[in-house]
Amino acid sequence: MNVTKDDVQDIFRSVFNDPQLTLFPEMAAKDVPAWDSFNHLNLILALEDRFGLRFSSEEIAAMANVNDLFTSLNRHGIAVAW
Amino acid sequence: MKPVRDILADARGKATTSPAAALDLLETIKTSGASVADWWAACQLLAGLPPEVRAARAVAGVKVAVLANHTTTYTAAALEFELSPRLHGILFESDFDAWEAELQVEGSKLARFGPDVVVVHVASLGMTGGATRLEGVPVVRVEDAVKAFASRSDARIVLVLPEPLPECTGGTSAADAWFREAQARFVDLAGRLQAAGVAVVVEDPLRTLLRTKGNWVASRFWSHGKLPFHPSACIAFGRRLAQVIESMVSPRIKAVAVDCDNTLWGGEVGDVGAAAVNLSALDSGGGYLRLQRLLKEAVGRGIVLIALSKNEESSVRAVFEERSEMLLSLDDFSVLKVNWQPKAHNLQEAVAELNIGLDSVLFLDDSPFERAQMAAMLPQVTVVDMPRDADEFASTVAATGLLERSFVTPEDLRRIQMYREERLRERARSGDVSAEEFLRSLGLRLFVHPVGTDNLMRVTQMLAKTNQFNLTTRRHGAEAISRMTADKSGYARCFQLVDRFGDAGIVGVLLARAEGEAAVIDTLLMSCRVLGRTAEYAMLAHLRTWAASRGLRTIIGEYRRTPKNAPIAQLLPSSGFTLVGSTGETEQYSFDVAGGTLPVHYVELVESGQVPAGQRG
Repeated sequence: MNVTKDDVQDIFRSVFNDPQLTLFPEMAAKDVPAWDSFNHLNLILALEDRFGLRFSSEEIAAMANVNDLFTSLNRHGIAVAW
Repeated sequence: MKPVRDILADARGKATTSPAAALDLLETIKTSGASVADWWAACQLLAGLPPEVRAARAVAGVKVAVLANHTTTYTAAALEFELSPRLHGILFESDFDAWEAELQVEGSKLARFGPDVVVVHVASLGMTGGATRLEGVPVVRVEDAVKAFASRSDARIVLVLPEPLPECTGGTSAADAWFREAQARFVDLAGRLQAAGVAVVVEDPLRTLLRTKGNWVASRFWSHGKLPFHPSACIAFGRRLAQVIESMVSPRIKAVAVDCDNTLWGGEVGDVGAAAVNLSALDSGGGYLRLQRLLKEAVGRGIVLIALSKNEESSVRAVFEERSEMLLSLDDFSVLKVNWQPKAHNLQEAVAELNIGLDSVLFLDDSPFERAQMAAMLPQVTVVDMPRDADEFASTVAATGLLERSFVTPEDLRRIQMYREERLRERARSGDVSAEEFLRSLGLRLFVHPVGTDNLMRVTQMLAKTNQFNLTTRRHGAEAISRMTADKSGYARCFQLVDRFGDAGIVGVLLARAEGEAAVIDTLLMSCRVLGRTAEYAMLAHLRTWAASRGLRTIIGEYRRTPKNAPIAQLLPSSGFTLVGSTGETEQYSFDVAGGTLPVHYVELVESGQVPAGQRG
């Protein structure tokens, strides 16, 4: 499945409750005030729900920034275009 | 139905401009099958609405503490969401793994919060380090902590039983053995706590977990979030806890209005006759009998039954009288409305006779047409969406949680008997006697009891539940009431009404405090089912006598208007009180203790020392 950056960005905006949020490759938890460990799970759940996939425990732990996330999505057959 | 995402967007848009409309929109999420992410967004939206808007919609506020050895974020949020809008939940969550300290330490954050209900949830995953160590079960620590807390608080406790470990198969593995022992020890613990006088109920999460779609096991969510179950199961469990808590603090349903043909038995009695309706437990009639058993149990807990059937009354009676398989008897029904009128019309008559609100009625009918008509004509009534198959009737009704009663007071149990006596009074009233003669003939006696441990549960329940004849609608919890009774200069009485037909139990509460030369009424309420017997005037007369004995010169009272308490609006002005001011929805009144004239009442006041044994409420 091919998706755009905006599709993923919408999920981020909804989870972190920030309609202005704009993704960039190095964006990590330190760049988003609401990105704590609990909302990290919410993000995972929202992505899984939206794209119909399931991240492994190790993938969840390894996702340090948006780039990692896109790489993970790619492994599950979701190609994200910037 | 609109997609959940659109509902959420609408609600978000209205959150600041029209929070009441946002509250209504969020309510529709409950039946929408929303995903975890959508649920979470909905819970956050609700929590962000102004508390005063939510409080105004609610019949009561309830303070709930969730103490756990795991992350309770989803559970607590879903609990708060599900309580809304009828109950305004105020939530407290312990810091991670601080449950024991919160319970043990005097003056802890939990103690300062002053909960009405404490959920104690020590999950198996937390006890076993994520199922890595199957060692002991810390049941003694739980027992000590709960007892320590209960010695200082009247909060009711919900003790959640341990969940099966992920590796449990139901067989003989070490995980299974550990789980079975943990369950048994927690059940024993609940028994010991009850024996020690702690108001505790047990909640087994397994039923909720089995109903959750997909796999409820936490797996990676324990590793990454210390959740005891999958997030969707945490949400389902939070919603279930809301059912439990509502049934504990403010049960919504007082009466079940039930259809007969194809609901209590199979077939139409008017066509096939009483002998041929299906009540065969060995066959397809078992579903009807299970529903009857469930309703019989509800009657045993003080819930009133109303029969609503389009039939000749004689045919319906014949089934009850001639079919020995029937589990319900005619005596279990407080009102029988069997005729050809619309059911909504019959139900309105029935609730008027019972003196209850339509919003406390649960309606059960196999016919989608009757259900739709009831929902359209009387939207306050809770209509259960009955399945087509009678075999699923009872489980569907049970799943609403609305017929559960965790704490049954003697009044709940006596309510059925009281409605029966009420029928007798109606008959006496229809005789050709004047109102005064009738009241005099009742031999009304009002027993006055100081509020104390004997009746604190009933008094707390009345403050939580009475909406109509309630002057100030202050929902004090047990702890606050205890503080008021401890104030020796204050007045805290409850009133038990007895007449020649029977004992209505405790029906009124009056709380006041002395301020300077005035007695200030904090709370004055009375059960609506005894309206019209002048007991409210007798209560005021008792307060006046007390005030005079203390040398107080005036009684100050205020009427705080709510959407439901119009019936009491005229009490103070009609009792010789003078309006001295009003602000917004509140009117202030004053009464001259020495010179004022209270209306005549037909009630003999009796101080509690003189109550005959066995008649105490």
